[in-house]
Amino acid sequence: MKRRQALQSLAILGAGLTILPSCRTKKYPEYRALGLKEDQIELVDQVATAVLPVGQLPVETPESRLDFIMTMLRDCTSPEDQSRYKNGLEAFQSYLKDQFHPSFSTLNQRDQMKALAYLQEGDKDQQLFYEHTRRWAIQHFTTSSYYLTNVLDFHFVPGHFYGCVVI
Amino acid sequence: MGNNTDHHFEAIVIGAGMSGGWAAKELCDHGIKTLLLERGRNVEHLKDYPTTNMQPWEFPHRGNIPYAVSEANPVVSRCYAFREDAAHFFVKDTEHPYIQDQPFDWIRGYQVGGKSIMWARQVQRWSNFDFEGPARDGFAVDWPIRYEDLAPWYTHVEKFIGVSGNKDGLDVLPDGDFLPPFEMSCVETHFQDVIRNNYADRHLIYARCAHITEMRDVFRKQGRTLCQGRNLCQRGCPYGGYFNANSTLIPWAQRTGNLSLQPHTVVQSILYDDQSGKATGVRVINALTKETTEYYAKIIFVNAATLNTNLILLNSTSGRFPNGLGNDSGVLGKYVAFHNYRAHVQGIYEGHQQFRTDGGRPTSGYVPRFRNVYRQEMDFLRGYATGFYSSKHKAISHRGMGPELLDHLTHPTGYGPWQVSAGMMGETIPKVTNFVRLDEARTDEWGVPLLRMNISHDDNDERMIQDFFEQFSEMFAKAGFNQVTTHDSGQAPGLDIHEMGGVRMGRDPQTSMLNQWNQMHACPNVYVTDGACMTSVSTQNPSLTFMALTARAANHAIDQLKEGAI
Repeated sequence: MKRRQALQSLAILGAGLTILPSCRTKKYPEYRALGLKEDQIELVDQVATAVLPVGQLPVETPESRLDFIMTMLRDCTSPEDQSRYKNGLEAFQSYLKDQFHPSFSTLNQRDQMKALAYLQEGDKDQQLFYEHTRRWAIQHFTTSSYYLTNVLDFHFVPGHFYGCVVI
Repeated sequence: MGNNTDHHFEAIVIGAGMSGGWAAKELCDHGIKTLLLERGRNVEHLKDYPTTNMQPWEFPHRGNIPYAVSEANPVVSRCYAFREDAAHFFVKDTEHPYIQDQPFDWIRGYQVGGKSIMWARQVQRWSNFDFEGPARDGFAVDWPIRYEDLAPWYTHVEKFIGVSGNKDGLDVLPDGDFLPPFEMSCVETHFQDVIRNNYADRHLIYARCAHITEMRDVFRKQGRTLCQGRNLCQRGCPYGGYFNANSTLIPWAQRTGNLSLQPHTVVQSILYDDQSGKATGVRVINALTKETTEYYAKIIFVNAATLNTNLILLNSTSGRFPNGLGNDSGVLGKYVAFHNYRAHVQGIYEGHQQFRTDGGRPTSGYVPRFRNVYRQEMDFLRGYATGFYSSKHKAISHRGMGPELLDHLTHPTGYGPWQVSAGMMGETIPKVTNFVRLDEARTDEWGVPLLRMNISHDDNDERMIQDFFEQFSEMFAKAGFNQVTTHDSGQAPGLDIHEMGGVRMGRDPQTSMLNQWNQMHACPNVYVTDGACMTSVSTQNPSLTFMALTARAANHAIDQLKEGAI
């Protein structure tokens, strides 16, 4: 987060000196290559939160969930799937607009679930957008220190092996 | 740079991996001034393991390799260990190209320590069923040694590296000098009983692994301590719990004061002198500056890893050896073989539901070869060993969304059934048609010719896979394993990372390159003791045999040097 804020400050400083090219993601410069608008990136965050609402659980990770999702989209996804992800996201935005939903985050939980159900039944790009976001949200949560130590039997240095213990 | 400014040493070792490290260690222990050359960078134990203490959540991609990297490097990306935590120890396809006349996944580690940093650490001895195989079954040439020749050197190596295992008393897999084993899982014990009760000639044992499970003075001197069962070995171990050249051989050799370790040095060729009939040294290229220079020594050990050893020898031409150093027979580069790792059988086991394992262990179960051991009895030659794996995980549903999904993830419904699988490790037959050669026009950025691969599976491999599927499906059924399925990955040779041969040992200089001491028949002060020397490949993971052969050959070379014979 600090890096992002620092880069953001630089971008603001720079704006005073030069004419910046049309920058869609001033707030998220590290994901600029994805060509997503700021509100689209924030919608990804809202969808991830709705899909997996970890609430007050102390899920401490080096990066926020949104940063993880955007990093995986940017680095570990083919250009074709990036494009489809964006199409699915745009289609979802249109749907929300058609439904007169001003903002996904302000919907009540029932309406959010209804909107996500629409995504799951949408075209292949909408499904890809939903499944990828959901998968990365789950991955971020289930690889966290909180999850590995409180839900799973993770020990970084086990120091022993018992072949047959009673559950 | 070495500290010897006149470029003269008593011995030169090409390649600072597992076998080259052993050559250097033995030579230095006996007072031989040794130059150890490595084409890649230095990797110092502990200091150069950047990921070793990283937690799972600290990897930006949680272990995944970025898309652009895997797209640009499809070969190395197929390797199971090429993940975010260890990718820095693997050669990328784009860095060191080669030519695949037939598909071959060449997995390489160019650094001090070589692939010993990321290896699977399985160390099973060969037996005479292996050494006598080619002569009995009429392929390749007879090995010029037998188990008895190597047995004391297996012990020598095991005592130094540390091997955890059981004394199983099996003639197909001789016992060694073992440290205590980790426990077996209850399903391994169950499967062991089923096999024992149903098959007189089959056994499931604890797979012997190069891990320290009991402190001994030699490990203390090496600065290593007990394996903690992290199963993160491919990153380099902060405890030195498993053996690699970096923690064990290289620092040991350095402490003698006899070692000059020189990374970033590509060996272009071995120099040969017509007058003396001996090799005199090596011509090398600085990997960074591309500057060429020469080093000289009385003996040369070639341990560049199987196919790079072939490459260097093929590229070492002279008036006496126009087709590569020591290649009077014309077999150099030929009779390359590997291990057939294509086949797996999987299933689940709903027995022993009330039990699970706890903690971590760096090894698995192992079924030594049981086909064609005492006589030829199948419609294929040789046989396969098998790794057996069992695990049990919490049952966690990923269904749903919203609070329902969170509830599923955070409230496992007990444990799922045991997952079981068997992985075939098949012997392949060295053939003249499986070979490597130098490209006549294309070179790498250091001016060294590119290697061309002509290595493939054959009908013998296909028949062996079918037998493995049938036998393990049957054995799994007898054990009460359910949902048993068979899988042929169809992977190309190479991904086993057990390529061997091309510079084979043999009794006859007309049909082999090396004698019973791994000396070149035609140039006796050159020793080849990495995988290139292998006459046949057996089923066992080969590194232990490379190390034992190297230690034996190095001590022969030391004696020869002292006698003034070379």
